[in-house]
Amino acid sequence: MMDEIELVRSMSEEPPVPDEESRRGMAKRLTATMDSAMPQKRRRSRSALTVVLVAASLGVAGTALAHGLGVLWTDKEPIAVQFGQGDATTGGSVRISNPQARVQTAEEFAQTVAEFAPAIRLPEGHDFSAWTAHLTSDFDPQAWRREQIPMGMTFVARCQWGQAWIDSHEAADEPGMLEASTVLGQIGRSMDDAYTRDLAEQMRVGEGETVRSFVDVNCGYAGVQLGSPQQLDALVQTDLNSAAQAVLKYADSHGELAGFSAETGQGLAPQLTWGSYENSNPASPGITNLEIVDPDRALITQESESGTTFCVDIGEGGATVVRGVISEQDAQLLHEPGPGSNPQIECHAGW
Amino acid sequence: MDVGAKEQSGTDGEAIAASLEDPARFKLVFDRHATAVYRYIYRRIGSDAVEELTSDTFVTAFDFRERFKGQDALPWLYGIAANVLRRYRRTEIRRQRAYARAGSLLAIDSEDDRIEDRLDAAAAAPELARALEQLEPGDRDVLLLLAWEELSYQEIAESLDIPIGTVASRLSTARRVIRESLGDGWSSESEAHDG
Repeated sequence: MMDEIELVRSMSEEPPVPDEESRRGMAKRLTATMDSAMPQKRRRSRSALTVVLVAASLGVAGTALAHGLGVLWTDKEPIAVQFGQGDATTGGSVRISNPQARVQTAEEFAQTVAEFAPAIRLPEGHDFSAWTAHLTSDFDPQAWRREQIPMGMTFVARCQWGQAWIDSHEAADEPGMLEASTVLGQIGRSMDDAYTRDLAEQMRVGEGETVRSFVDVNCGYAGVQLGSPQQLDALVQTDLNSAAQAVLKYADSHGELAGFSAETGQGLAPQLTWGSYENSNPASPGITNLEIVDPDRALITQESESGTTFCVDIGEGGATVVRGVISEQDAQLLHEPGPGSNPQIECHAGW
Repeated sequence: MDVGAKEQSGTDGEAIAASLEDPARFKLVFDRHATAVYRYIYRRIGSDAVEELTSDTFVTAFDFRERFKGQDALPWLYGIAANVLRRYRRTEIRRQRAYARAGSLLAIDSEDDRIEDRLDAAAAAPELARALEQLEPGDRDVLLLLAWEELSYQEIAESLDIPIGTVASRLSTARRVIRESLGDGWSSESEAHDG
């Protein structure tokens, strides 16, 4: 006779393997989330269209408030949205109409954010504009269903309450710390999310490093300040590694670097914002600068918001790669580029 | 330099650590484990929301990736999935009742050499489904990770972030509830799983 474990095992039939379409669908939301965690510097590249959309969405929210809908969250229920499909019971009292409907356009996304904004509590004076701007600047019509937008907004809330706690912690503002940890704990309970509850507990016991780490790693577009110079530098190094990959890929297929340009880079690594000394693009954080020094050598530089300018020097047609920093004096040259001139910048190995 | 190949190799732990600086690296964890997580969730709730919850599992894992310290991420992902699944308790109950109904058909069709066992299992299926309904969520998670995903005690402990002794005690509780639910006519063959 079977024992209890075998008995339980016998009651389940073999589950199916997800097909490719299903896998793609599941990956879309993760990809959008990963993209949302990217560094804050890319906020600079958002399009003017986005700004208009956000303004429009805030206008919609303002209209809703003017019509008396007001704030829908309460002191005990910071998330007034009811999540789930069928039997799920997380969240508050506001049901999501057509939860499975695809959000097809950036405008629709911004309007949906505005629709649910009054139902999700953020620290006073904060909003969803940075997050909305990021996600509408390169909108993927396959990535979002209606229900997932307020769910994403709860992640923004988590980030902003995390930041609020950090700010209060640094200012030794105990009531502020208590408010942030309390609201986050309520969000965790409301969403039945053990991880958020755990984060709130870390706040309650004063684990500043854990909270800082959470915000730094996850909240690049959530309307918070990213943290340490090391963190900011690491983001630039990540960009430069991506840029170097693009250059090396080109070198591999063309045998030289003479034809590589900022435009080529933009095609191969579109997540970066490429510029070039020759095109008179001044250096600034968020711009990956390219200089083709000679047909076999490319110098890529990018300034961190910490103030350091990092570089990757690719020589001998891709056979040598030096990762380093450039001097302050050379960095100044990158701020005032001119067409046709050769700044002779040196990349000192260092990371 | 074959950067692409390097990104595809290495442990989950390395990919997750790298994703702290380059979030896109987390995609490797999805590529490796999406099927297993999907199948675990499917077993528990069926097809209704399996894609949503698989997606929720990976998004939650991504958000809390800085806490992951191991090398194999799958047990950790199962633990997150178990947490996500709590929102779908009623769906899970319906699924277990469906298993109970299907159990008798599976047994009758079976040609394996344990046909008597399968007939016993089929007869016990409705009570078993009720027993699973009665289990505390934590006890049920332990039982199903052991029975369906065949995780070791150590892996279950890592998965649910509980001491290994708690795994044993929860499993013992789960087995007792099942035995009591099945009644005197059922006697366990082995206590091997209790250790």
